[in-house]
Amino acid sequence: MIRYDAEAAAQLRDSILQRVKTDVTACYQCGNCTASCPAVFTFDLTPNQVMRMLQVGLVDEVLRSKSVQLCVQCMTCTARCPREIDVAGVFEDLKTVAFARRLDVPEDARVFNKAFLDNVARFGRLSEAFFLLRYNLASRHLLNDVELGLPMVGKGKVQVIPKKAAGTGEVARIYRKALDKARARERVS
Amino acid sequence: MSTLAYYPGCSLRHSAAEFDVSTRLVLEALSVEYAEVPDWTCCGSSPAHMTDHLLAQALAARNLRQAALVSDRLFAPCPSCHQREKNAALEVRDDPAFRAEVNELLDTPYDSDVSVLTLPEVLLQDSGPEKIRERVQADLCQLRVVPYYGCLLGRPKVFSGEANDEQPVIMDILLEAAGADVRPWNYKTECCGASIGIPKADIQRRLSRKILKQALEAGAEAVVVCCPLCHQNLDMRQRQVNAAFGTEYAVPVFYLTQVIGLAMGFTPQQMMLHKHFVDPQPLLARALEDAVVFRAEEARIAAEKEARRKVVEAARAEKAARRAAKKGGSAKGQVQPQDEPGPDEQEDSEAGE
Repeated sequence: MIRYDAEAAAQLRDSILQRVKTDVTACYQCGNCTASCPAVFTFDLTPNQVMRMLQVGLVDEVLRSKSVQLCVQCMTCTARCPREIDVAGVFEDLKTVAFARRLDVPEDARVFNKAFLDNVARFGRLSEAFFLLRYNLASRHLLNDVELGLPMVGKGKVQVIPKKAAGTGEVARIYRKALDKARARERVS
Repeated sequence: MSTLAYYPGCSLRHSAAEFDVSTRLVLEALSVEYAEVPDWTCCGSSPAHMTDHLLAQALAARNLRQAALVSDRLFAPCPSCHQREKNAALEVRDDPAFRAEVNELLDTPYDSDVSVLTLPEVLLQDSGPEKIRERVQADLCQLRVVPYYGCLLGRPKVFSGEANDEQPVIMDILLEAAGADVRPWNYKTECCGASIGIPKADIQRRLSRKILKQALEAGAEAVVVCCPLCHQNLDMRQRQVNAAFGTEYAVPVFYLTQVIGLAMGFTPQQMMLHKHFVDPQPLLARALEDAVVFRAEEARIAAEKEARRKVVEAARAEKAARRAAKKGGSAKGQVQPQDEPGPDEQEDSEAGE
């Protein structure tokens, strides 16, 4: 069943207006964003469909879409929008809202982001090899990029044993405080 | 100009060590002063801004605060780091309420106003193409390249210092100054797939393949990038692209600073070309040899032209002398017969008309 939620949509549009400083109601469906999108072949909703769905109130469908997770943030849509809508900014915001509401979302992008940020909070600077290992474990793609592992070590492109950078404590605190704040915000609204 | 704060970022420590080393050597050779940001930490990159906006801005602001200890101008060679730092710097500068919110998350507040630059911007503003041209020692005129800007060196244009987000030009200007043969093409700002190469390989394989294909079609033999992730996708993952599509690409991918450094006489070892997966050294060696042949041919043609010019000039001088002698002879007589105009005079009159 399709659920139109006008109130939730109005709320989300307002928060997008406030945070991204862009108005999705300006979209007139020219389709420039979709024509420019390099990742659209993997999307379930095209960017112009997402804009329309935000206008009419299909919030939940949008937040749980593959499209929001698979957007690569190349910003071509934003650069080419004749209505000057920051389409990539809207996608970014939707992804953060889905995260803060702890929604069950498709694809591994969220697992990737979490593995990355956990690594940064732990070492201050990204330890690439350690992060990829953790990502493969968390996403259960154990053999992902395994063919690159040895050559990377051979070329000295990885630091095998990660070290904590000065300032790691502060980074970990920023991470914790920001996430607490985001989750509190989404509980209120 | 004042000292710059240098933010290397996580990639430049290991997977893109050659970008860090070549950047430092080139800046030093161009006498651009810089100091590394003390105790910098990760900018948060895409995972941070795709998780939470405040988190992303606070992680970046921490580095701005650290950068302010050494300079009020910061540059980051990695375009992702640059974009995160610049985004935070502008938002915090323009919105005092948001700055307060960010500062709540930091151990000590960020109270300064640091401006953030891309590496191509620094090379253009703090050095300039003239200074690069003056220092060129190796002749790269036979190195046919396309500059690949990727997403973040062109977009959004308010961040990148470019006038046009579809056709950025700063890398073109710098590479031309270094003497390379820069080919025009339309894929300067197409996306290579960025970090999606890990969680969703399909996107990266398809996008990176397009870029390699278009580079070859533009007549280039190598791609020049200014981003560790673009380099990873086009160089390290080129074998994965080949495996996915049954192609046989072997396109070397240079960092901008490696090409400039090689032109200024640094060795392939100093520019760490051995770190690349597709070895650029055979192409470089061939380009340098071709340049010698090309210049010799150029000199031969120039010498031939000069010799021809001298012969023509001598013939003209002789003819003029003959005519003068003839004129001198007829002036002594009573009648002055109309001379037929010579071929030179005909040319002159045509030009006059």
